Amino acid sequence: MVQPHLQAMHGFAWRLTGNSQDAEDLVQDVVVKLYPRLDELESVDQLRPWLNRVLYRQFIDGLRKKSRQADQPVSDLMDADSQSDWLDSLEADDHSPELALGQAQLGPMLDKALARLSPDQRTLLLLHDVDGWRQEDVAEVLGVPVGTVKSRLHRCRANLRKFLQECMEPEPGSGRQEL
Amino acid sequence: MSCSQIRSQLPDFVRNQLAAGEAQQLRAHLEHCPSCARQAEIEAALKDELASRYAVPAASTDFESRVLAAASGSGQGHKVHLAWGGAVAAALVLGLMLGRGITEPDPEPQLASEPAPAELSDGPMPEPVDRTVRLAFTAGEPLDDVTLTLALPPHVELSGLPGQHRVSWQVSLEQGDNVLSLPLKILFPGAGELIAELDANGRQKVFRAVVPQHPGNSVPNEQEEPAT
Repeated sequence: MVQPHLQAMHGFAWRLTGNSQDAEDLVQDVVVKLYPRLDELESVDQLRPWLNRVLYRQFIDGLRKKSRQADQPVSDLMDADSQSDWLDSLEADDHSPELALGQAQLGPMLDKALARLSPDQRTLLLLHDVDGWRQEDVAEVLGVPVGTVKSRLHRCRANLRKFLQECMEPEPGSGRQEL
Repeated sequence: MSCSQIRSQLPDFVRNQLAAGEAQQLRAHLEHCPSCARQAEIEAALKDELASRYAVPAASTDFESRVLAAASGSGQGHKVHLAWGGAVAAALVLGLMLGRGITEPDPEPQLASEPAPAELSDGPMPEPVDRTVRLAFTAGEPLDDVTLTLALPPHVELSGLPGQHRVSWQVSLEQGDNVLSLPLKILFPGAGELIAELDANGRQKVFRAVVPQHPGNSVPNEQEEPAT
């Protein structure tokens, strides 16, 4: 029953964790946890978003546990203290600057710009704009209204474009532009 | 619609996510607005670049079978652990003196930086530079299946893994010195440290190391110190 959704769950888990090992561990934890509840799964209409929601909650629970460890050295993957949803920590920067970058420089600039987004913003952006999640899918998994996802996605995109724009701007006084 | 409204819809337009009526309206605008048409081209390029650079890598070939085995009990307790694929993995494996690892994990890692040839840019936007950092772990006796997790600051990536700032993989360490070469890409000037966490059968040890500075850093390069 779950098998047809494992690859999609892995994709989502990878977006959340950022690496293959943690992604596969996360999926495995979820499936092991659900195995005794197969009867319950049979009553679920839309299994994939339901599974993704369970997976997301498992991920957040894991982050919270890590954050409670006093000497945990790495906890900045997501802000576990932001409570319910990582989307809540998105910054509000709502303008969409015009871009004028050459395509040859786009890749490296994109790397830099994405690196400046918070992990939360980056995850939302990549889920929607690369993995093809619909806003309704994101809303379902996170338990927030579609309109909320829409506005946050808009801000993520605006921030990305702002950072791209900054990447192509010369430093003050340099008198030189490489684009 | 205004140009501003049009541009806010371009990301959805290039992904064919607009309703037919909206898409038609937008197309009509682009036909007589060169500026917005140029933005549409950039959005399309951005979409393609995102898709090619940030696609989720495929799961391991036995991922499904291992997960299902664990769930049904036959593989219970075994986590799925992967080695990296591709060139990065090759570089890491070559850099690691493979063997058996730390049992009494009393590793005393030392960090040594191996500067790449100077590749400075005087331009307004710093170019990423490649630097190799070697982590040395001294192990009391051999140990397999040690999980090594690296956390990188925002301005640093492992070459070949753009956008990933936390990565893990399994290593085996042999008795004595083990050296792991990490091909880093320093994206832009910044501060931060590399954090390496070794997990050997539930025993964890954390090491912090100075990341080589980007040539564009205005602050003079600090002396790199051994990880503590």
